[in-house]
Amino acid sequence: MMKQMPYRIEEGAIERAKYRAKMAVREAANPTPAPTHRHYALRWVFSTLTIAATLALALFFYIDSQKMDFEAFVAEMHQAPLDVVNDMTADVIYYAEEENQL
Amino acid sequence: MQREQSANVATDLREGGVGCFDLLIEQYGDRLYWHLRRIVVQHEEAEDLLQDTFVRAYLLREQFRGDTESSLKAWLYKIATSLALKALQRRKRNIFASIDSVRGDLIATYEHESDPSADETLVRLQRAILALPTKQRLVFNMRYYDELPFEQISEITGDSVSTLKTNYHYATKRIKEQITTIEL
Repeated sequence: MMKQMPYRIEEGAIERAKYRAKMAVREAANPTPAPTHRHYALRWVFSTLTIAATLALALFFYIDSQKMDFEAFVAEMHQAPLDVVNDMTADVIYYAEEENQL
Repeated sequence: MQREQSANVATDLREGGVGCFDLLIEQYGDRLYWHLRRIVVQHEEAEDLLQDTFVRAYLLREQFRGDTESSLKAWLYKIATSLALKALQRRKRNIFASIDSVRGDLIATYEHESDPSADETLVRLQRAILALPTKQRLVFNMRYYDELPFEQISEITGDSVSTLKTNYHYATKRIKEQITTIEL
């Protein structure tokens, strides 16, 4: 017969503690295998390759979008009305023909 | 029959079956929980130490040399006590302080951990026990609450039976004095 203990304790707390102890023993009996050096090396290689591939894709899309913008501008210019073209070239300084002679 | 069954448990223990540890936890879990709780006072810490005790026992099962229930019990108590004392060592404020320096902390913790509906005499007894030096407290708890014979306590603590009897004698004397002082 166990003597009465004047400690605060929730109902079922000892049963829970015993259950956790059982689980802890099971974990100790079947430990998760620790990662080997090969595991770490593979993880590093995989991470590096993923980062490189992501950067390459980003660069490709960036260059492609720049090219598309320029092509669209040229196409727009071909179809633009004359006054728009004149406006855009208004700042161009024209020199007399003879001034262009050496 | 009980003795035979325990001897089988001891053999199974050495052979390392997890199922045998379930049995062991069922058989000794309550006792060891209270043993640990009386040393460290806090429930969470006692719960963690109970887990550590059985995990340690599992990992060291090859080293168990006994074949009776009492030797198995003493072995488990020894592991639990050693882990609990290490936990108390960690609570010390500095490395030079004695383990007895945590008594104040333990009594303060007990104020939060005591059962408000418990009998006042039992609470007073517990406070008096917590005020004892660690060695006397251990011996008193194992003798009074766990009702272990001095020979078994000797196996657990590594002290001689006569030293343990002296410790127990001083512990009871101090507890009586403490309780009488509080009553006055």
